Amino acid sequence: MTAPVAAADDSLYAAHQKLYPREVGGRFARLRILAVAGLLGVFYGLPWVRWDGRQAVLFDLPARKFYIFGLTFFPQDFYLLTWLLIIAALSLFFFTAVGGRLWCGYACPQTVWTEVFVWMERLTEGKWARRIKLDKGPWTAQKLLRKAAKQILWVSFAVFTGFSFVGFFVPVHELAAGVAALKLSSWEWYWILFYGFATYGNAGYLREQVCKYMCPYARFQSAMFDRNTLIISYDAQRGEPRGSRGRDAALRPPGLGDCIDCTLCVQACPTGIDIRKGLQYECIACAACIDACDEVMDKVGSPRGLVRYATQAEIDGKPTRIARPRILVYASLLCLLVVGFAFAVSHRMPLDVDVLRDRNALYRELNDGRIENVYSIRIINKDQQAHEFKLSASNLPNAVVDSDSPTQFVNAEEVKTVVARVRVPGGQEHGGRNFLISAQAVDEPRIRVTSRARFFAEP
Amino acid sequence: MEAEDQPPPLEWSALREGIAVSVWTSFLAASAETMVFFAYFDPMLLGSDELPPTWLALRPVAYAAGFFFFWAFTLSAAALTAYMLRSRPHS
Repeated sequence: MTAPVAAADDSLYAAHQKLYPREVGGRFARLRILAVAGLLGVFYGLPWVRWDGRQAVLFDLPARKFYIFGLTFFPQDFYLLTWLLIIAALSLFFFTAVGGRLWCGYACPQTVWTEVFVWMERLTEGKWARRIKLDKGPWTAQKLLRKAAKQILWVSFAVFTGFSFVGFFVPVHELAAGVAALKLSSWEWYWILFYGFATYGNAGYLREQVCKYMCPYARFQSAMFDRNTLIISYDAQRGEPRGSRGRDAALRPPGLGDCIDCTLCVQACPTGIDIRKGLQYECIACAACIDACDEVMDKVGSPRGLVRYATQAEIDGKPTRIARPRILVYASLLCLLVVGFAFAVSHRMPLDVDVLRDRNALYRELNDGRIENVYSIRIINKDQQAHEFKLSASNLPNAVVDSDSPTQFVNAEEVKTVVARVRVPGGQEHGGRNFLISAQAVDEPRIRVTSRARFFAEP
Repeated sequence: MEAEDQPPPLEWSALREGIAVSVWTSFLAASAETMVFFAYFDPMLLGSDELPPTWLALRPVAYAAGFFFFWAFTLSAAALTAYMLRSRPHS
């Protein structure tokens, strides 16, 4: 992998050559459109889905609660998110090792939104050749009109994207009403515009430059590759020596391979590379060159697949091994993590307890000689229903826990802070000692959580 | 043969690349830091003390302020790294 060469002009404003990828249709283009429609459908549609009378997926940051369908998550469940991110990373490794950069070509938000922005560009400015001509030509009324139409489409789609994004964090019905009445908090406006602007800039202008210069995955994905990984390959043995044909494309001059050097694969590439030079790190495996080449092969009457999804082993005429140590390790780790995650989520204790010592006094001696320590106990009821909780102490002989009532009522998904006094007979304890405070639901003894605390008495 | 009607793209200038990469990687790091930090720290707790700035006790404000605070610092580290890597004198 070579580092990009710095241009001679080291200015931030040096013009960057704009790419005009030629549009192609075909099997893989259709597959990508399907992926784009599915993923964007989920992104734009999910905030509107209802579940049990509330938004199905809502990351309520001000309330510090995450709702995902029937489940509610609290900051204490943060480890689950970490777990999920590890699963996501490992899936990426697994799919990269098997299928190459499938993520880049079909699922990456950068690809997905760029696809939509390019589609809007085509709608307003016309096809490939026409766009190049339009950009080169003088500013006519028609050019102005087309450019303005594109910007209107782009900006409104970007703002709608920002709105949908914020809709995952603020109840989307409230948000929509707020937008309609122009009554949103400045933060809501800010994040809508922030995300909208990021979409507009990335999908409208930066496009392949994000993959080339800014994406970390593009740089390290090659570490997951081996000779049995599916990549976009040009079959040089079949294609070379390349050469153009005369008027009758089907007439092959002697000694030439299948590649007619029409350069359509280069023109179609959204990152501007020539796949015939071999695999390059700029290749996002979008398969546009495959679609382009297949069409040409059909026309000249050669079999498809001069550029195709293939492993290096296959190109070299050797068998491809799917089950290899790397794949097996990724797959078994992935299975283990997914099963563990499912178990952790389904067996999650719907209760959490935080114990904080009273900051004012280490300990207090009561009139009857007993020693008292005071704690502030936060009971976090993560369940969908209310419970009565009983507090108790263990690992501290003869300890009595006293608070304002014998049991504590905590509503569904609520946090209650209780002041609890723990007392032991005088003379029993000296110095400090660790003990345990437990909370247990009276109606459901299974729901029980224990937290460590420290008890102090005279030295 | 190169395609005549589509010249190869120019590379980004080193300065532009440095800025874009620094902004992006620090954004990723700051997002992760914000998530981890606020998973364990509830800004509402600031409201129960007299000393710290109470305007920070509003959760949406604290989250945003925390994010930009992290971004500013991660950005300074990233930008400095980019600068150090490309300003090394060649012997």
